Amino acid sequence: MRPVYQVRDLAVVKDGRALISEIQLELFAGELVVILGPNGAGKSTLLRALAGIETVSAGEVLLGGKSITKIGRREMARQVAMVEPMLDLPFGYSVEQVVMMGRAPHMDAWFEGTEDWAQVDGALAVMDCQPLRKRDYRNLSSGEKQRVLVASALAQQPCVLLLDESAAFLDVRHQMELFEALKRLTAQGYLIVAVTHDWNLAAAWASRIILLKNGRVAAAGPPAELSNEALLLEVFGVPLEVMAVEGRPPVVLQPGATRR
Amino acid sequence: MSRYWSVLGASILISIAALLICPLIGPTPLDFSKIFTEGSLEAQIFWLARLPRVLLALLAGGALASAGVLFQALMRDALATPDTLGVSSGASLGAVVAICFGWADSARLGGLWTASLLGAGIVLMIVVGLSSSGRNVSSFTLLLAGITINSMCVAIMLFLQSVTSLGRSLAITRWLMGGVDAVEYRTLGLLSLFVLPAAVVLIWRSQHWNLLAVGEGWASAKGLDTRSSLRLGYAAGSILAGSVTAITGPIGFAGLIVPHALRMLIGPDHRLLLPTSFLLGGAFLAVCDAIGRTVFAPAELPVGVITALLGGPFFLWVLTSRATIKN
Repeated sequence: MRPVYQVRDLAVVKDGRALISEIQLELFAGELVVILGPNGAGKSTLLRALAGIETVSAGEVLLGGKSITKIGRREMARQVAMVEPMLDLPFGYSVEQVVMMGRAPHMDAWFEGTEDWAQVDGALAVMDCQPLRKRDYRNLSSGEKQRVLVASALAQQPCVLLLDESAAFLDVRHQMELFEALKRLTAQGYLIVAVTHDWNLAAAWASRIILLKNGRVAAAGPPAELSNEALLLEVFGVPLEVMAVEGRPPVVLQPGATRR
Repeated sequence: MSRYWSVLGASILISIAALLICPLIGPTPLDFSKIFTEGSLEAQIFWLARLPRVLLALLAGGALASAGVLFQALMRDALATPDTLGVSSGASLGAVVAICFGWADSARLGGLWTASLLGAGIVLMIVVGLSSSGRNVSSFTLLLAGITINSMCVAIMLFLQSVTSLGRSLAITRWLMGGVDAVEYRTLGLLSLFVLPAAVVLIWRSQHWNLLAVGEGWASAKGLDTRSSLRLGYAAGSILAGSVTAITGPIGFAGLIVPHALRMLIGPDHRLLLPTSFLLGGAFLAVCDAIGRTVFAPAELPVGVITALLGGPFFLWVLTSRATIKN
């Protein structure tokens, strides 16, 4: 199978500092890839480079075999949808309008068509946002906003979904529902790449974890392979305890461990 | 969609009503049966004084309100208008320079116009440069920059006024009063050649402003070529604010009240907000001018006085109500 994304020798340098370097990746349709790593490891930079909104200093990112620098913005938006961590709006757009903006790369007519409404309805349903649809986006809670942003990305009908900390503001039920929904999308052939800090979400749902440290890939593989205490200590700098529950390896925080 | 057409239809009706009613209002009572009699005093007052003045108010108000909507979207701030950003002052300074160096009397409108457009464009480029270099510049920074640019422009205008000849100094004073006067139909035609295409382009690109109002990163993620859209927006905004200011002089706050009120009433979707702001911004300025020339008749208040007296308190109200939301 041909990879959706091929990343070759990718580096992003800003102000003389390499945010990411020597990144080699192949990402396939149907995968739920989670990028993990300490603050400043380059997780968001890598995600933004995949979205084509980061200036790449070296190497290249291929989407469907084509360099993303050669893909127009509109065509890119039809294939790849990016959900940014948190977004505030200056004006009172309704939830429905925010989700409808996801149709922008498909819409040429002045008014929304039936297909646009169908996609918006579908995206709202997937993210459990239908009761919110007429609400002013600015008055939503952080978690509700995040779900609306994911719905707007889904309305783009992409084949790749990039999520930056999308679970961070969600309550535990919606975190789980988000990842369940993402898992269902991968079954439909989506490639999903998510940045998160939550090892347990990753361990439960990811098909592959990419561990970044200092802008380089420290390790990559299925959760079970990476859940070893020596590796986690090396990447995160604190001792973490790995336990197996029903065959999956949750990670338990140890209070006091940072005060070594 | 039916709501869309009814709101737009109502706005069209309101601006047509303004066009029909405002010329009937004025300090001299007119016998309207005589306005179609050629050569009569009534016909002269109606066709040469009042109608062009109302048309100018409609055009100027529409241009300033739609420029306001645009700047508010691009700066993501409800208080951004041609005057709060200093763009109007830039246009004024350009015009004053033109008057001062005599470019305005020789080529009549050409010099004044070019200088105004240049002034508006340069100031807008400065403001855009300030707001994009650091990326997340707060609206207060932007407004402070606008105030600073305003004072600098005023200082240069005062300087020019004090060193120029008495005649030109008077011309500058009169021009700076700001207001809609009876102008020749040729001037109106020329102004529409600038204003109408710019307004049409803005309305046509409404979806772009919707995306950009959320943010540049967002618009780009939704497939918009943000650079070319922004460039187009800034060019159209400078043309609207600059070409109007060249004719009317500075009219404060005309781009603030109508867009803000409409956004509260009909929502922020630019497909509806832009055309209605253009129509009702024009009607608003025509009505303000009708008030200005009647309340203290036979004395006339420049329309800029009315809009500033209404717009100033409105601005403060928006500013304080927003501050409480943020806390």
